[in-house]
Amino acid sequence: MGKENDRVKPFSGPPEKTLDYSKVAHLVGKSSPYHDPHDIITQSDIRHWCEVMQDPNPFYADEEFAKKSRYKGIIAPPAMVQTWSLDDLHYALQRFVEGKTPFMEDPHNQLTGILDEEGYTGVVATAQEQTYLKPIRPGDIIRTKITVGYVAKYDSFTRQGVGRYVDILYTFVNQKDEEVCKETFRILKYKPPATTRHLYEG
Amino acid sequence: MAKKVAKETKNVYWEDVKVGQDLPEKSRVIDTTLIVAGAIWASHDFMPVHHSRDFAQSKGAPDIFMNILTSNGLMATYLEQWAGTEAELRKINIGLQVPNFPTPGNKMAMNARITKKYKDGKDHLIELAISGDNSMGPHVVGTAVMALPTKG
Amino acid sequence: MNSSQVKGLVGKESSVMRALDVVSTSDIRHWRELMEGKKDSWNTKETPAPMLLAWTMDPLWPKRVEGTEPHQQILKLLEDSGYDLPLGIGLDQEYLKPVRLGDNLSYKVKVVSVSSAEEKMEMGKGYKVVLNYTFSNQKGEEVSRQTYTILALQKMALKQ
Repeated sequence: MGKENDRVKPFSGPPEKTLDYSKVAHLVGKSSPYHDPHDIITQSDIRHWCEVMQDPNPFYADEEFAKKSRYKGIIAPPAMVQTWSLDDLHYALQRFVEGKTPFMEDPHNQLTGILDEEGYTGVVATAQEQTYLKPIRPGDIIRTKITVGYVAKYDSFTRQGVGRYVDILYTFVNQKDEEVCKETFRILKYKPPATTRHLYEG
Repeated sequence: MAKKVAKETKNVYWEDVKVGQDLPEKSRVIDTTLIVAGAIWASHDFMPVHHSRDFAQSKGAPDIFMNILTSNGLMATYLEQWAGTEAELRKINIGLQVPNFPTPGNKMAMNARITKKYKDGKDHLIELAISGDNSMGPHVVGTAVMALPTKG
Repeated sequence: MNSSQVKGLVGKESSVMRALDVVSTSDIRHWRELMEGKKDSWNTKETPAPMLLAWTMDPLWPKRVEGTEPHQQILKLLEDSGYDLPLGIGLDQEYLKPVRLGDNLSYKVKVVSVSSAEEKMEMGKGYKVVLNYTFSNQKGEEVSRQTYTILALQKMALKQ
């Protein structure tokens, strides 16, 4: 019994500063404009993906076969849809190395900016759900809109530390403005344990 | 933005260059990102010495190092960016010496000197001696031939 | 190493091999972004000529069945004798025609020479293999001739 008590020390530090939801409430439901992809979908990018995934699916590679199928031509692996909306090399280095976020005016970037300032500097992806609405094909131009879907009103106490759950929604459309995929991406923005250490003492 | 456009439309004309002329030096930071992306992303070269540190070290190298296609591409790009969009690279010949390792602070300084200026049929050509040096010494040494536009 | 087997391959040319990918906007742009840096738009209609060898690279998967072409046989013989680290050390590229978006490249490889004995090079000890590549487009036009020098090493041994 004594040992049990030793393990968790009673709360003794100053109260944790926590995010006031009203600082971010205005961003919830807001979307970025549609962003252009770095590349149009090409047969070679599809083949490179399949090389890495070790995916021999003929819908992705065999023109003759795919033509006779319900798709009436080669399609890209649906799970590949997000690759065209990721940062190009230049923006990725800016974001991850130089610490300068491209398209800072986008609501989801503003949100993460505010959370960073409030001390929730850690980030971990906790769930991703993609719903595929239409096949995507070589030659398609996939544009992406990013929406802040949800920000938790209160902190969660997680293994990573104290954090807020955030849902980012992606809408992918093709050049005909047809929605091809909808995605919900749940991230946890958390305060790295060093700043909430007293919770874990003992 | 305006600056960018100006840079793109700049052309070097055959009449304006002379033998012995040095091109302005340019350098590229040699880091893991450039080496790995150059091999895998740009040139589709999956030889593990260009992306796996463990593999490279098992082969006696201190670290991963750049593949020749990336080295060659960097030199070619250096020449094309100097000459402008109207020029054409006709020939490039390179030999590699010390490898490009991603040692902290490593850079490859690229240089070229015009060694010959001549006409061949309708083409107005120059020959260049080219080099790329990293912090250990010479990485690339070679020659190139380019066709330049004329003022007409 | 069976040196007569190696010698017998010198001067031999491969059959015509085809690039796995048709020249695409994305491959050109990936190359250009790495080489030329950030731009608002890249020229993705013409291939940067130095990029041609990228279309001859083996895929990550599926593993190619053991090559029977002369240059593949030579590298295999060297590998079996412990010279299993083939490094490109020399390139000589001549560009004859532009390679354009949608082109389907094919190429032949000829073994020009192999070191007669182990050579001591800056990067270590090994055999030099000189190969000639001839690239053609789908119309059968030669677009580039290249000499590619490979050094097959046992291990990299750099003098610091």
